[in-house]
Amino acid sequence: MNDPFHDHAGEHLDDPALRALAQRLDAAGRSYDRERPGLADRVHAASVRHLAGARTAPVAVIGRWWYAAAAAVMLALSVTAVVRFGTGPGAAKDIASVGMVRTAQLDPAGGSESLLVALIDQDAALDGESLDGASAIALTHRGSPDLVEIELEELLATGGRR
Amino acid sequence: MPDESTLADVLSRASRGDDAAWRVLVDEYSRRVYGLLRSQGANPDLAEEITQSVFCTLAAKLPEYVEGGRFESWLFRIAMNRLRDDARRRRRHARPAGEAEVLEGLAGPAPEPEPARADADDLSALRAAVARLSPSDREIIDLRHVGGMSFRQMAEHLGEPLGTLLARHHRAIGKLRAALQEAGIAPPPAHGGAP
Repeated sequence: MNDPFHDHAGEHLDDPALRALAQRLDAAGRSYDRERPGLADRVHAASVRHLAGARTAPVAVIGRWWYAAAAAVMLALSVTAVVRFGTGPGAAKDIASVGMVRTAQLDPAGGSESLLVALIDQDAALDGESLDGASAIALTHRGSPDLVEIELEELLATGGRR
Repeated sequence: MPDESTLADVLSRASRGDDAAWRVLVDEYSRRVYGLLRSQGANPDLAEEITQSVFCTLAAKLPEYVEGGRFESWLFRIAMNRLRDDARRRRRHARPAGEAEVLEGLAGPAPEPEPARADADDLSALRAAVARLSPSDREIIDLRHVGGMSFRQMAEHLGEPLGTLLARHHRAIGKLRAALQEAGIAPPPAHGGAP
């Protein structure tokens, strides 16, 4: 056998008969190559997507979670702004709008809808003393960051109205 | 077969998602992994299934691998571990395979038509004789003559000094010749050249 590192390629087999047998073993080893025509093509087809996925999948997952977490932080900051600084007539209107969401705008039929109802129902979220609690509800109430993210974005985009 | 520097470059590019480099690795090593699995008793379907699985694992883990001249050892170890796992699973769910079945698996697929028959018989006899060697001797023969590893790679793979490994190989070949003679199989013609 052709030894890539030229390290004792067979000279330790001093007997010609042994060397011949080694050659025969090499041929026998290579004979497996003929058993499965197209083996390399199939192996390549099956494995190449793992090569690309090995780099992109974890990034995509982490990105999605970061995005959901960022949305929750934005919500918390918005609620803080409304509660702490929104004492004028306009702010009162915003708070009134949020208060109307449940009764006038939302029909709590689906999982994400009930999430928003739960969030708005929290006195702590509206009185500004337990904003972490509101964020925790957003992240854990339904266990689906994508749905939470979509609903929170819609809520924030409309200033509490839908 | 890629030399060391070429292999390091190919591995590096493949780990960054270079499909052409990955293809080089698959072309070079898939048949050797397949052959090694076959020589260890896997039937053709199982050997291909495990080969595909090994390369899927390899593709996913390649970014973590740092080439230090041990790629083949790493690759073959994954393959052999996968084969052992499969054998353990089968032992739990099926009757044990007899020697005849093992030898049938080693002999390869359906019989070939004449005139290839004589060569096929010769090949089957040789493989059967190898299969009857001790696991330790078989390992040496298979890594060298089916897996295509160099003696240096084998020494690293098995954690043994090179001299010890050469002696083991010499002994294993000698035992194989004796086994063939004992079975009444003509020894191969002596060509004289180094393998």
